[in-house]
Amino acid sequence: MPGGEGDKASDLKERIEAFVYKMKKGNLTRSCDVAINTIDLLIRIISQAKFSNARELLKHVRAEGSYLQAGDPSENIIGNMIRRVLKIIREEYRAILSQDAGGEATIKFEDVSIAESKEDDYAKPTPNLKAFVIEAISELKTEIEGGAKNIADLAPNYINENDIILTIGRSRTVEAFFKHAALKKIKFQVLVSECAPFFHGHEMAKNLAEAKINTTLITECQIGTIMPRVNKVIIGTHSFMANGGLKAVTGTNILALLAKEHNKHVIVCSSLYKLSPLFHSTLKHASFNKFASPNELLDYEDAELLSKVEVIAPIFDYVPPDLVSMVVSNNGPQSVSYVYRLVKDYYHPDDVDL
Amino acid sequence: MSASPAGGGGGKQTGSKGKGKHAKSPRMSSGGGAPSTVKKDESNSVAAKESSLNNQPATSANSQQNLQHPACAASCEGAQGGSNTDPSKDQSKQAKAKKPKAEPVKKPEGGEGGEQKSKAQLKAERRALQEAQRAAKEAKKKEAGGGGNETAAPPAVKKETTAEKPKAKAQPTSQPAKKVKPKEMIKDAPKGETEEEMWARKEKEILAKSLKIDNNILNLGFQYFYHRVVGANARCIAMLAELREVIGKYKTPPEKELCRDLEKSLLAPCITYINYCRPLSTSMGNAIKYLKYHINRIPSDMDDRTAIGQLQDVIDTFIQENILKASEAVALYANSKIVDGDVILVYAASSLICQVLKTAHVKGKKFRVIVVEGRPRTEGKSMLRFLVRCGIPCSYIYIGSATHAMGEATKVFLGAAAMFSIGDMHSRTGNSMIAALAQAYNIPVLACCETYKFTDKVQLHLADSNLHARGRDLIDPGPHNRPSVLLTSPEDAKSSEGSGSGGTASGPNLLNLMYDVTKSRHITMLVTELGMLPCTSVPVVLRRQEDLVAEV
Repeated sequence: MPGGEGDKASDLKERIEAFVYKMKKGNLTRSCDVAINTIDLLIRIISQAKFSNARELLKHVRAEGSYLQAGDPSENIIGNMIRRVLKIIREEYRAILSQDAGGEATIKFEDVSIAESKEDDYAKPTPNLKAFVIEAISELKTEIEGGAKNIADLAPNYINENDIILTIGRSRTVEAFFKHAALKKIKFQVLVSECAPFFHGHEMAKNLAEAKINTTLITECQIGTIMPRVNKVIIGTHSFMANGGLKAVTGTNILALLAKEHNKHVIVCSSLYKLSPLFHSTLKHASFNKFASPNELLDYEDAELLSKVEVIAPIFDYVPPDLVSMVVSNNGPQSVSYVYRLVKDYYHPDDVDL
Repeated sequence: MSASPAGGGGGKQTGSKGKGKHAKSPRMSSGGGAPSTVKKDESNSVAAKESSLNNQPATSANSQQNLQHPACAASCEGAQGGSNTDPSKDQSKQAKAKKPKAEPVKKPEGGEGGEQKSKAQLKAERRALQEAQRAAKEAKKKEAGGGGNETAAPPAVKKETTAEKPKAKAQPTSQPAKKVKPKEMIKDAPKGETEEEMWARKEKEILAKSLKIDNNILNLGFQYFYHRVVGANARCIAMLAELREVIGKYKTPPEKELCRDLEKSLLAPCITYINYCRPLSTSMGNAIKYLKYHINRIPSDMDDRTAIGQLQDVIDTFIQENILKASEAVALYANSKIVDGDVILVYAASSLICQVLKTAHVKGKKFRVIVVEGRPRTEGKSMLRFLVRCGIPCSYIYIGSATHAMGEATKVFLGAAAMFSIGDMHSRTGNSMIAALAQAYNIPVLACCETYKFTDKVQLHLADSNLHARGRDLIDPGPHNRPSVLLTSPEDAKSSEGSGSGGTASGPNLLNLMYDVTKSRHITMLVTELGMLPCTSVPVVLRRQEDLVAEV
């Protein structure tokens, strides 16, 4: 039995290391994959954890979570998932307590109140906690997996006949969104900005064209030219901040800005697991952006230029919330100005700092 | 011919700067100019200039300038000499026409030989070439056989052209209509013809048409068509230089007046041809207008020699005063707005902006430049190279990420292809985005433009037709030969694209517009050789130009 547990522990360790390595290398590009992988790991971590009360569990998860997050500090999704799990632990703990007490008054109060609760120290022993927590996390996982589909189901509400829609780069959620609308026999046209220097847009355009959607590929520099003809802009995002600002693929800012300039709606398709309780402080914030290799822009062979030129190839853009019209989430459409409230719903204030 | 040392030489200098700079970019991406220069041993003017730029990495700006000077002068003469030697052995016009045909078509082959993409293109090109040669042969045979050679020979070719020509003509005229219907604009495929087919057809037609056109113009047309000569100034100077040559060869037919016949029988077909290869720029249009005006003013009793000399002087003066001196003046004025510590943001390439920045650097101003790049032409790279060689510290960023650069930029300089009379700026696509972005960040936008590019035309929003650039360029492998997912295999990509426009099979449409319009409210100030003006002053300048012409 001890041997088996040792195996399990080393297996878990290996998995964690593999995950951190992947994050460092940037091998996991889909945010959905990142979320699912993180949750899987957390389930394993919790199931193997030994604890006598919720406080110990919280501490354990937080410690392991910080390690996971360190693999890629700019990947908000990992942090989001850890915070969601922490919140689940807190909720389950309180649910068990209130069941024991026979009343639910405290929980309701907790949900409504914005003030931090200080009386809870999560120290009471709760034997069934682990099982409840793991069950709740599995539910969360299902929710994440079904997120893109839930969003896609909303597509007919936002895409009308003969629309000309502009999008940028590749987002699985947006792709599913368009495809669902096409399935519903809506005739519309999509313009895909290629998202240089990464060219994810080419892939997107290809996939959309294969789904028999009238698709046109453009370069970034033509966004301004075609914006007057576009009806609406539908984009995906990497994650979004507590103030409703987006952290999205580079080029999104200029796109949103031009949309605003021409008074076009910018609709963001995003599952709520991408909602981060953090705020974006500055563009150069270490944990906000990542920079790609200069080789993406200039050839290494071109030494004359490369040795003398500062090449800037950021991967993400920050899009301020005032440029975004609405967020279509798996829970339905959300106003950007309401996002702060969702943050309160999904994360516990004590968990914002891991 | 007589005035060439001063005017022509100077013209070539700047022309080459522009030309070499712009024309280089496709070559650079395709990995070195060496093979291409070997191909063009007939010393095509641009090729020679490019090679002079590419092969001799001049470190300092001055030495570069010095290098350019003789090289391009020689190459220009070389080109002229080349075309002059051709006529010496001219037995039949067709044989002569064949040579330049084969030559420019091979150019892309030489440049992009190793790349996947070129295969499909090459095939089309080869086919076009073969067909044209066949046509030429046929024409030759007929000429040899029959007496009515001039009229009887071309029909085989001509039928083709006339049959397809209306379609081609329909495209430019349908552009305004497209403005209303965005769908059509984006689809780019009138009457079931895909864009790629249109380009292939155009290529063929240029070859077919070329039988009757002067060699110099033919070369020029090809250079325009393959984007070897790019940029408003470079294109204009190149055209004027060639027209100057062509006019030099002109002889008034008996019973005709020079002032009428020259324009009708010589100028008009040349310009139609050039326009067909690539639509005329405003700068070229204005230059032609100017030239025509002076042709019309030549008294009917003047003898050919004097008249031609006078016209060549007119061309020289135009190049000298309206283009070269004007850009110097613009550079001086713009310099007064560059101060130490400035971070100047520029977009893509502009010969005028190059000059502005270089002048400022030579004057010892300490500033930094951020070059913003737009795909697929990646002209910013040649701009970057120029600036780096000048010794100016530079940053380089793609247009999508331009917001990151906006934080540190203090001024934005934009070059214009034309200024419309309502104050809007017509320029390379992407400029409008940069201007809008700069305004959102409260950064002043200085548009630089010589007044000869001012026009009384007005275009709103979408500036231009799709006749400038190919959509296919979008999925060209990038600088590091990373092929696009859309380009699985050349044949596959071609077929999918062909049917893609029809919306039947897989493969998205590709849109590649070359120009856009920047709203006047996004431009803080317009720098011209007449000083710094608000954009709304464009009609005033136009009016003044009219008055000046009337006075002369």
